[in-house]
Amino acid sequence: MRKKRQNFSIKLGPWLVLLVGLLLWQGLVSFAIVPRFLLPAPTDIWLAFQADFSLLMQNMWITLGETIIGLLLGILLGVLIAIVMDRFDPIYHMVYPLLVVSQTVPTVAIAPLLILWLGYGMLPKVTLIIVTTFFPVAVETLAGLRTTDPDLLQLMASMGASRRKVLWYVKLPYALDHFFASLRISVTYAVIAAVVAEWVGGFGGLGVYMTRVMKAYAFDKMFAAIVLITALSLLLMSLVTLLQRWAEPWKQTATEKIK
Amino acid sequence: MQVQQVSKAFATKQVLQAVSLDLNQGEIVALLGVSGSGKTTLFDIIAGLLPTDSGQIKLNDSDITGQTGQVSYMLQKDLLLPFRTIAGNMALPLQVQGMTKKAALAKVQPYFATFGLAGTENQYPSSLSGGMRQRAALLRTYLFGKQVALLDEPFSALDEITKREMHRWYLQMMTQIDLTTLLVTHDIDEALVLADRIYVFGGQPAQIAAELQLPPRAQRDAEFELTSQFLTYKRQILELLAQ
Repeated sequence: MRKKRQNFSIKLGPWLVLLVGLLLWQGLVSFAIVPRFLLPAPTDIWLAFQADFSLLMQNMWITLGETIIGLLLGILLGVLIAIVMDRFDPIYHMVYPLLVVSQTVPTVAIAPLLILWLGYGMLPKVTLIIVTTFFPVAVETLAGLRTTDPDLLQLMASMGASRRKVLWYVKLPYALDHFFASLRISVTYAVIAAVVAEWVGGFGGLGVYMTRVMKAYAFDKMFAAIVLITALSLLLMSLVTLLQRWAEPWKQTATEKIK
Repeated sequence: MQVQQVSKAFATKQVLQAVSLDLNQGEIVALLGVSGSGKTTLFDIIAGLLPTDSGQIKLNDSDITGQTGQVSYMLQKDLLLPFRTIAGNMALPLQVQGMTKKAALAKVQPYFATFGLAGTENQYPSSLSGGMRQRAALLRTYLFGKQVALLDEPFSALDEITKREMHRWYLQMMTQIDLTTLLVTHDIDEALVLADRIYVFGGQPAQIAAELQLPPRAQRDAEFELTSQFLTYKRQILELLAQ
């Protein structure tokens, strides 16, 4: 009984809270407690979403394209940096503190510079996404590579295994958990970075769409774009979960056993 | 295989003092000593993982001191890779030696039945019992394909009953495969049941305190552990270890 209740609050709880929140919101606007031009009601947002659907989709594909290209390059860079830092200790000591410092620079500050240097096209967007996504991947993957059981490394050494084989057979698979944890963070960062870069300057994408509707004070459309961006992030995150399940089949059998 | 006058110090602490021992083909030799006596250090040296301060390791009269990949080494934990199936784990030593995964998987196939692991090929280590995992780890050690296997307390993590079962299984295995075993243990009963010879290891720094030749295996049946002869050996070893 208690278990059932727990299950209910875990699975349905968030939806219930969301529903109550939406109803409250709708009520506030419908009963004119908050003026409609400042805060559109959920129903207004839904109508705006339908009205601007094709335009939103068109911009979404641009944002999604930038996100995926930037993310893939960011992941690649992050993993490479992690492998190099794991392999060469001096490089780790030289580069790691700088990496941390680089993350204290706000993306909003770099975005306009990138636009100035790289133009209004796709390049500054992709660059900003790489800059924001490679870091979590690099740091977490490195942690994964370094937490490999030292006894296992001893065993591999006793077999006379080359560094490349140790990396490929043992260390990289061990780092997968950490890698996927970082990927979940990077995916959301990537979408945000894409929108921020578009916001600062560009010809298309949800960020550009948002600046336009903002200037027109079309807050309902603004919210429609926000909801779409959230949905996009969630979709990408669940893709990561699926990917992880596919990449770590041994976890699957372990949890199935417990059930 | 011969270990000749091996000494080793860490910083200022002398750990091994002129340790010498030899192994004849097909023998099971136990290296018996208390925990922390430097047994694992000696194994690391034989496996080529640690340099010696002095002394030599010889295999078939050639010097293998400081070389890895010359003997099969099994560490205390089973160290099966959780992300590989049992078959995949067995293929690992062969892949390290340069075989393709496909060829390695085909080559390990016939050994599963011999090692009592039939049916586990496509399972992941997490779904196997402790005893089965240990068998798999032993098979992997064997599949590395060297004449000499170093086993560092291979059964110490198992419960008493499983351990006995594994002892019987191991002795029976040894009649079917050609392998020379050097076994590190702190379990006197285990050494007396499994070994042909026992080196008692002790002191600070550690050295070989004594060498015991046990009666031929044919004379040691399941009842051996209950004989007064067994207890005489045990008393002798306990006295040596207490020194």
